[in-house]
Amino acid sequence: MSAKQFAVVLFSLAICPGQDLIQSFDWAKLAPKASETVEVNLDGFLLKMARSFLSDAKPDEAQAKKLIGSLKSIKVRSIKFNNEGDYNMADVDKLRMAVSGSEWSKVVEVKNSGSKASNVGVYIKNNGSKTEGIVILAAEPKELTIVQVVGSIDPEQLRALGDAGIIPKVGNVLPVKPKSDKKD
Amino acid sequence: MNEFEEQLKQTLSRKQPAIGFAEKVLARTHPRNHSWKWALVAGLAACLAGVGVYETYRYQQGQFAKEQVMLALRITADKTHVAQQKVDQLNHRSFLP
Repeated sequence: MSAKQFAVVLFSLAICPGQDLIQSFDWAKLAPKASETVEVNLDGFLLKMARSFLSDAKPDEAQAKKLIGSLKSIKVRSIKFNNEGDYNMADVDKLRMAVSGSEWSKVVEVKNSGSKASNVGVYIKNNGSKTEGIVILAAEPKELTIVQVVGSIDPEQLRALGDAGIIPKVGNVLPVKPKSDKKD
Repeated sequence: MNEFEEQLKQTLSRKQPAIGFAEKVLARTHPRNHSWKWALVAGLAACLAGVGVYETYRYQQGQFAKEQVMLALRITADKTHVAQQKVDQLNHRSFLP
């Protein structure tokens, strides 16, 4: 790729915060080295279907239903590799650059270099006080995971699911909305 | 021949059928055309089968979507936990003398 083409790609990534980050990555080239792949593609229709199948009567499902109520899409790609270094950290950097636009807030970004290099980041797209999307990028030595959630998501609800034991405990890295005190 | 035999002979004697009798008998013995009823039954059965297939497909798709949502939420939680661990490690290191 020439410098000009790279600049065009970079520019297009930077100006489109709502773009499909996962689709923009070339997963096919990683497939031959993968030992395990997880792919989740939930668009509006499938989320609506899931909502109709999540029961209000079961507390865990009711909480999940509430959480996904205002989401537009959830996409996940997670690849486990047999060996360290089966993927290129430069590719991960390209992904990271896509969520470095002005609309994105970097909540956490931890980079470890050396033999066991890893790169973990949590990015949030805000529109005023509303969270409109979350991207989680976890590049571990033998595992690469990207989670892209588009839509209004309340980290507190996600944390409640973790506290209820329905999903693993959610790290405190996700920001908590300050509770507004109502004054009469 | 007594009176009884005379009555029996009259009763059993050959009589000409009424006019149009043969046509009436033939009309009754003709097979009626029921094909439209069978078409209706087949149509209803096809509709029911179609609805059944669609509902099964919809149920499977809904269950799949539900499982995918839970999987995505589990991975999301897991990876935020990884990020949290990294932050904790850094904090711990910075407090070391």
